[in-house]
This record gives sequence, C-alpha cells and structure tokens, in this order.
Amino acid sequence: MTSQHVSGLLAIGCLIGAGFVAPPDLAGLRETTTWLIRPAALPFLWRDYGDAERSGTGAEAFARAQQILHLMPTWSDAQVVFAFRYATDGGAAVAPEAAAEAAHDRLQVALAWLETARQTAGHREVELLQAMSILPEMVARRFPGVAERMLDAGGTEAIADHYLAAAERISGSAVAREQRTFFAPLFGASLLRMGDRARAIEVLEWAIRRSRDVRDVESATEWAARLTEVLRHLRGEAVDLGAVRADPRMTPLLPYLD
Amino acid sequence: MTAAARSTGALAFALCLRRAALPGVLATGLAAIGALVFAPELGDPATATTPATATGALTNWLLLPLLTIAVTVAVTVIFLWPTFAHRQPGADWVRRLHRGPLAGCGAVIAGALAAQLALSLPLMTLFARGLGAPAEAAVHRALSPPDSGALLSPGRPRLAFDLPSSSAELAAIELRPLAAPPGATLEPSHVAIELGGAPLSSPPAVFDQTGQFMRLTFTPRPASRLELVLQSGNVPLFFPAGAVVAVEDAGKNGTTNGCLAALLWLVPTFVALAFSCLAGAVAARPTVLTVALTLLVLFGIAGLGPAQPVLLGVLRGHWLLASSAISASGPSLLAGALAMIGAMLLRHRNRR
Repeated sequence: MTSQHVSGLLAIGCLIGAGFVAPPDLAGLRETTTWLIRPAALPFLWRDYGDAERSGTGAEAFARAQQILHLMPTWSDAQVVFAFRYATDGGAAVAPEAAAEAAHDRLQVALAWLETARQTAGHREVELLQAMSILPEMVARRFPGVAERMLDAGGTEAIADHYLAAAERISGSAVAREQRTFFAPLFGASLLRMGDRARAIEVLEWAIRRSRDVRDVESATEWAARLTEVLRHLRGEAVDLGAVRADPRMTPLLPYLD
Repeated sequence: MTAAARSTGALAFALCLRRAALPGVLATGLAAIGALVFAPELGDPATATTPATATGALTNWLLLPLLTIAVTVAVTVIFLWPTFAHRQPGADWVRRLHRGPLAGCGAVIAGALAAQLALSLPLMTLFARGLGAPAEAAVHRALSPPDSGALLSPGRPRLAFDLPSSSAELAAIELRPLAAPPGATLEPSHVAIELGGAPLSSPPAVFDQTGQFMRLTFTPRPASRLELVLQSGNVPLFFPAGAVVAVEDAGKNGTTNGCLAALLWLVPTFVALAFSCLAGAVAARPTVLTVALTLLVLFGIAGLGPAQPVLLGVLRGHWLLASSAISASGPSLLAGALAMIGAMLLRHRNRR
C-alpha cells in the first residue's frame, strides 16, 4: 500500500469521524447551497419576475416571486408584499360573484404562503403575523362578497384576532393590535418601491382607520394626521410634509414622497 | 450536397445524438424533480373554485434540459471536427477531402442541429405538456394604438383599435394599460369593450394601477374594430402598442406549437456554432469553446434572442407563429448567417 493510499484512507476516516462528531445539519446545508446559488440566480429570477409582471398574469408573477423567495426566505417584507399583491390582484373582468370567489381563493393561497414563511421569518415573525392579520380585511374591502365567504372561519375580525393572538404570544406583549397601524409606513414603502401607488394608498387608508386601536388618543390623532398628509400627497394634492419628514416613524416612506 | 458532406453531416448527427442523449435525459429527470419540488404554491386545483395556473413560470425547468442538450451538441461538434478550430491534428487531411469553403464545418453544424432537433422535440411537446402547457395554443395579436393617440381619460372616453384582417373569431381581450395619477381623489376607471359597435356582456375591467392586467373573456365573435369605452372613474389610462391583445378563438395544435418551438430553439445553437466556426478560422480550440459556451449562456440564460420568448410561448400556450419569438429570431439568424459568410471568407483567405 502506497503512502498515497494511506493518506486517502486517513482522509476518508477523518471525514467519517467529523460526521459523527458534528453531524451535518440539513438546514445549514440548504442555507449554504442557497448562499452559493443566490448571486448567480437572483438577477435572472428578478428579470423573469419583471417579464411576468409585464406580460404574464398575477398568478405567474406570484409564482416567479416564490422562486425569488425560495432563495431569500428570511426577507419577510417581500413575502408580505408579494402575497398582498397576489391576493388583491383582479386579473379578470368577471361578475362580482365570481370575482369574490376568486379573491377568496387567492386570499387563502396568500395566507398559506405567509404561514410557511413564518418558519424562516426569525425575529420578524411578529411583523409577518401583523401583516397576515391585515390581509383579510383589505381583500374584503377591495372585493365585495369576500367578507361573507370568510364567515365560515369566523369573519375577517376573527381571522385577524387569531393572527394577532399568535403575535402577542410570540412577542410576550399585548400591544400587537395597537402596533399594527405603525407597520403601515414600512408596508406602504415596500409597495411604492414596486411602483404600486394604488395599493400603498389602500394600506395607508387602512392604517388611518386602524389608528383608533392606539389607546393614547392624542398619539392616535397625531398619527392619523401624519398618515393623512402622506395619503393626500400620494393622491397628488399639495401638502406641507414638514411634520411627516420630522417624524422618524415615517422614514421608510420618505424616499417616495419627493 | 456532396456525398462527403452528407456522410459528414450524418456522422455529426449520430455522434451528437449519442453524446447528448444521456445528459439530456438526466437533465430532464432533474428538471422534472425540480418542477415537482419547487412547484408554484397557488392552491390545490381540486379544491379551489377558481384554480390558478402559472405554467409560464416554469420556463427554467424546460430550459435546463434544452440548454444541456445544446451545450453538449456544441461541445461535441467542436471536438469532433478537426477544421472547426485552428491548427488541429488531421485538419489538412480533412481539407483535402472537403474542398468547400468551410471544409465540412457547415455539414457538421447541420448534423448537430438535426441531432438537437431530434432530442428537443419530445421536450418541447411531451415534457412541456407534462409541465402544464395547454393542449391548444391560441393566437395572441398585439394591437397598435390609433394614430390620434392612445390615452383614455374622462376628456377622451373612447379609444378605437382596428383589428387585423383575419377570419378567426375573437374569444378574449387582454388589457394592460399604463395609468397616470388622477387629478382628484382616485376613482378606479371602469373600461367597457365594444366589438364592431356592440358592447360585450362581460363586466367592465377596473383599473387603478399602472401595468394592471385584465382579461375579458366572451362568447367568440368576429370583429374588425374594437373600442374601449371609459364608463366611469378618473384614472387616465395609456394604451401603447402591445397594451391591448386580441386572443383568437381558433385553437392551434399544441404539439405543432411544440415542434415550432424546437425549430426556433435551434437558432441559439446555430448562432453559437456559426460564431465558433468564424473564431475557429484563426483561434485554437479553447477560444472556440469559449465563444460557443458564452453565446449559448447569453441566449439561454441571459435572455438574448428568441430562446426565452419561445419557452414562454410554449408554456403559456401562445401560438408561436404570431408571437414575438419570430421577430426575435430574425436578428439572431442574420447574425449567424453573417458569421458563416465571414468564416467562409476568412478560411478562404487562410487557404491561399
């Protein structure tokens, strides 16, 4: 037996020993693989997503977005934005009854997708749950007839409560409901980054309605006033944004208010 | 074609077929597993009332075996034929047998393309169907806006498009306008469609966002003129070329569409081999290989030329003869033909 054979056998023995001492972690292996693939694949996946947005259907764009998110599972902002865009995408001019049925189906898919995203959200899981609590209400508002279809599951409020209870359990704090409205600038900014002004407006309208959840009335009124200023600006009205720019909570939106 | 060229082409065909078959099968297996494991999560079609499909998002899984075959075929040809690269052993013998300007390279390329066609036909037809490509392809015709302008707004609530003269009936209209900010509080624009002066019974399409997609499906009917009518709302909508697409009712055979796709997918390999042949007049094998592989990556992955539109067309069920894939093939074919002419001239000069 040559010295080369001996060193080869030693190397194999060391590898097996290493496997016993520190068993390979499948999650780690997956993370390493995606880390290696990401730089090569992402530019093309984004291009494909753009193509789907320009010439495909909403379902195709969401499927392309899922391919991106498979490589970036911890990007919870994007998980929320893509799911929200899919859930609120009409796609076909049909009778209101059929539109509501389709919207209800899309909502179920979006919530199921976000549910799986919870596993990889890490410390952003609470924000993800807050976003999931918003989704049913917004879809129901956009598509008349969806709220009635959600009555089997207790209605939009009950579904939101379910997610908020989970958020409160994870965060160990009972302010998840109250805090939801403050999530709007980040959510709205993500939509504006994708050029989705109409949906960003919807999110801000929702946040203004939900500012009533804030227990401190003075804070709630001031917050609603700031959001209203942003909303009016996005609608094309001339508004003084001095107070908005001075409010650090509005920082995510500032790049889109010029 | 001479007997020598015929036998050279046949030799290249047989060798490429043999070398590319196994990698192609393995890549197809891998792609099938990938498509199953990473299938788009759009709900269970069995339980959903309105099942969503996104076969157009599966192009990557069709691309994997196609590109594997194209790369294997190109590499095989470059290693097979001594005159393909500069100063290869046996090149002088081959030149004596093949007196033509390309010294057999043209016949070898033809054989390689035939092998690729034979291997990619089942992929574009059967495998694509397995991925969810529709059994019938529909003709999608992008309409050009009228000369008077393409803006639909409260000040100009009607926009007319002339439909191309065709005997086929229309079954659907797809709209994807650009939206401008409204002057006042946003009220989504409701757009109805009139075909030949008669309004459609389907509900109006509602737009409040730029790039928003709407499909209006209706009972098939012939039409020569399409009018968009703004019923209500204040979001100005701009319909540039391609923002209005008329979908014809007459379904074309999906298998024929797949065969067309396999033919069009020869264009990237032809261009890659043509430029390799040009480079091979003065460069050694490593350079020739680099040229071929770079071009195949540019076509297949980076989206240059017709490769991507062809895959999208097949999987979405768009009839390729009426799609952008044809127009995207033209410049590539021209570039490939010019490279072949350049290779002929360069090799002729080298011989003298």
